[in-house]
Amino acid sequence: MQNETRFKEIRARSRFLYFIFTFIFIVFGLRVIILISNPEFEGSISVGRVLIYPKRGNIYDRNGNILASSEPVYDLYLDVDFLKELSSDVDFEKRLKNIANYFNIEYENLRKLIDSGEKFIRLAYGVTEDFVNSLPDDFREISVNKRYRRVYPVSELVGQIVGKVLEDGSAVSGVEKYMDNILKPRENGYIEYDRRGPYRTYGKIIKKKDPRNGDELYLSLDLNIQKLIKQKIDEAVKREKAKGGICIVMDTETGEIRGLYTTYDWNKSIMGYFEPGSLMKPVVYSIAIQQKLAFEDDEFECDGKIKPVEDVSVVITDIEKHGLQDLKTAFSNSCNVATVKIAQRISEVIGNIGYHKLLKEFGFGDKTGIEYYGEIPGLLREPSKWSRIDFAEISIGQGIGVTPLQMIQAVNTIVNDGILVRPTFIKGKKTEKKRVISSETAKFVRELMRAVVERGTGKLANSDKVKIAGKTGTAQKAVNGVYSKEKYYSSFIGFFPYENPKYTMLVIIDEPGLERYYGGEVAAPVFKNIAEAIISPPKVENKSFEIYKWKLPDFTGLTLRDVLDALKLLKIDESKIEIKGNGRVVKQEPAPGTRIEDIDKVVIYLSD
Amino acid sequence: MLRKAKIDWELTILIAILTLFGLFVLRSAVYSENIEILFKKQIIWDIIGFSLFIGMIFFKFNFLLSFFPYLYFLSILMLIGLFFFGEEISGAVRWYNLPVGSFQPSEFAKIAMIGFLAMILKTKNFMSFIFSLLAVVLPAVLVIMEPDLGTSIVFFVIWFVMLWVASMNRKYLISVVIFLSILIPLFFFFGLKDYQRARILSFLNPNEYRYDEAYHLIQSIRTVGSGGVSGRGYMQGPSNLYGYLPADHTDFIFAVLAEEFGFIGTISLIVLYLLLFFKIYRIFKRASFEEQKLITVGVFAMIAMHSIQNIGMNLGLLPITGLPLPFFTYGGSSTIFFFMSLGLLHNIATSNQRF
Repeated sequence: MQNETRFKEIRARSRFLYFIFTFIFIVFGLRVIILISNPEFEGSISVGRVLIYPKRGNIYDRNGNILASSEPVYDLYLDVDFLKELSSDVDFEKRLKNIANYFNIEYENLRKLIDSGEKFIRLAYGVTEDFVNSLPDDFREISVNKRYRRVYPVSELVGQIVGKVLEDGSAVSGVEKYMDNILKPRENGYIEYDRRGPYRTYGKIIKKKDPRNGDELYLSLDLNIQKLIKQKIDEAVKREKAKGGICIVMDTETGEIRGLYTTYDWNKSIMGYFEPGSLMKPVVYSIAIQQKLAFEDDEFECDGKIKPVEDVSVVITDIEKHGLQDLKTAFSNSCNVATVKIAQRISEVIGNIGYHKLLKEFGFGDKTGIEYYGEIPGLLREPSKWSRIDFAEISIGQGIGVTPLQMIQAVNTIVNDGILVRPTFIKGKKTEKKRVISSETAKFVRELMRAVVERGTGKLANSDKVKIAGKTGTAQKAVNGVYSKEKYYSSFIGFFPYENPKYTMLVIIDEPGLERYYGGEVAAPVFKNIAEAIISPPKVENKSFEIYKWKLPDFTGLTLRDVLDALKLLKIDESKIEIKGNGRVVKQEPAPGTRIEDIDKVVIYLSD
Repeated sequence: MLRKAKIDWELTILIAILTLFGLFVLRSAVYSENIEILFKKQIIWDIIGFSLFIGMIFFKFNFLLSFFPYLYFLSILMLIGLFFFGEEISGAVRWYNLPVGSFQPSEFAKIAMIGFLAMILKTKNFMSFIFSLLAVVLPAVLVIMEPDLGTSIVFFVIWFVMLWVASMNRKYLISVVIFLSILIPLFFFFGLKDYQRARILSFLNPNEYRYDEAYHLIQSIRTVGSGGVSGRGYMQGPSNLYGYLPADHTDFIFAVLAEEFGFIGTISLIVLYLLLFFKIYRIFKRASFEEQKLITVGVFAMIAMHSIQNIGMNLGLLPITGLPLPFFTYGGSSTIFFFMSLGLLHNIATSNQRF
């Protein structure tokens, strides 16, 4: 009995215990509801977020010189709400006046903007970091927005090629626009930090993500060559009192453009076309020889004029009667009559359609596909629209619109042993290649081009420093549909060194203003000048360099042997040295003056 | 010694769900800190513990009970041994460093004391009251000296609950209450170390201590509060991931659950615990011997005390002490002895089966 009472009591107490525990857990449930419904807690962790804007990729020339880069600039805004929070009514006006004064803004205007409900008012746009740092400390109501602005340190040299990016970051021209997908900034980075909470605790950084910048781009351009051709073309244009000038230097084998310069305010070498005149002849001769329509021992009688088609009254003339010439002489004399005779054979045997097709194979009438926004395809009319004499006109470079870039692409095919390579602005890019004529044909036409310089119209391009071959061009400019007797394009297209071509180059002088206007007189000497400068090894000053035991000296211009000796003296281990290329030093990493102890690796770039 | 028994499926499934739930949350808590090895270790502890939980039903209850005096004295020896062989971790000597992991004898001492007290309190007289008092003071004092204030309080709570349910003479109970109401203030001002006092004060006024003692507390409250109704998503809680929450795989794992699963997650946990309490209460009602009832109450008090204290501190309702949340907190010793305690209940629940 007593046991039973006790058991009852035990049970009652344990039930009580059970209820207490259950009750406490229900309290816990309520507590959770209270906590989660407190708006202060909502998202109280991981709130603050500062965006880090990504950079657009830099553009370099092939040697790593900066052509375009992005520098930080700052926009300053007045945070109106924050200003109100910071100040009393009286104070507000005073603070606002201060700001207006500092930024040279009319106070009334600022006031109006605030009254109209603006929350953020721009005070300054694109200012430097120094300006931001010099702001008075109590301008806390000013919010600073960092962004990047495109800077072009050598725009006078490469501006036309590189193109432009506007303040808002959009690329509008040139390589910048064409390669925008590669260069453009990818993804914002951010810093997340803890900011709010019911009890303001540490503002701790909880997550950082780096922005994804745009990729860097190395162009095929060589800033040294670019400098050189700008200098020579500017000089020539001035000397000849010409309207303008164009020069393109292309690496024969790879199609990489080493230099491209025009004096115009737009890139006429890619976005404009001209009638090439006699520059077409290497192409026409190549076609005829490849098609077995012209041979080395052919002879041509030139009496100064020819009717391409018997019953059409148009006559094509030469400057003089060349008399009886073999093929090579006809070419080196730039004889129109001989060229028309060759064109007649082409027209008779393969017809206009076939001729058009072969011209297309040389790249005429189509864009080259170079990485440049705004390239045009030139103008090569469909054969169905050709007049009866167009086959002859086109053969002497009239009635066809060719961009200077197309022209160099076509002639480079001959220089490059018959293989057409697409021109490119990108260093190391493997561009499309296709064989257009046989190696033998190409070699023979190169011989013809050499004859032009040795004894033909291009004698002024003959250099004793480098063997040059090429072709002159003197194209009358069409003015209102009639060929002008005063306005010419004087041009020279060629390559060097002759035996082992490395560069193909085109020089065009637009409307020389003096007496002389023939390509051989005006453009050929400029070509020669530039070719000699490009080919001659860079001047090596016999500089004696001091070796400080703690600083990396300037190695440029030295031979590899000297450099290695110096590095040995500096006790830089061989495993840390990397050598690229052959010849003399053109560049080094890290820069001269770097402390030896900071160096992990030395990279020596040699001239070739 | 051995007996035939059928598994109590209600209890077993409940325990299994809690265990898996605990592992699931632990996985997230350790993930962010590259200590995923702890997750794998916990799986092993859980498997060992669960095997004990099942295995213990095949022994006769009295056979198990007869071990408890020995286990009790073994646990006291182990607590004393800490002074000589214990490993010091952040100023406290609570663990033995064994090759498989740290062993915490105070966890063992709790269950040993529960069984021992059940045997003592079966007899209702003054001597057994004094005996029981000695049986709790001995381990509690040893634990205080580690120092581990929270755990020693657990010893007293278990003792008091068992004493009360055992229907000892009211005089004893009243005198204990009076004694404690005098002792506690004295102890607070003279017996506590500064950091212990600061923790309690900081709990009462978190904002004032927000950079120091109450930092953990505030982070925990914020973490729970930011979870919302459905949480931030598994393994995506920022507090957990970015190391905002200190000790997130041990003391504050409840906050991880709250942050990542929100109210839905916490209410699930609460419901599971309430189901467990209800089940324990039913086991208690069906138990036939007084020792069985007392052990059940003792284990009930222990599990409830741990979970209430831990969740209460996560919610900013109770001061911070390092008591583990059963089934959730990482820990070898606590896991195994929680399972052993529940194994005892499992044994009691399956004692009166008919075949």
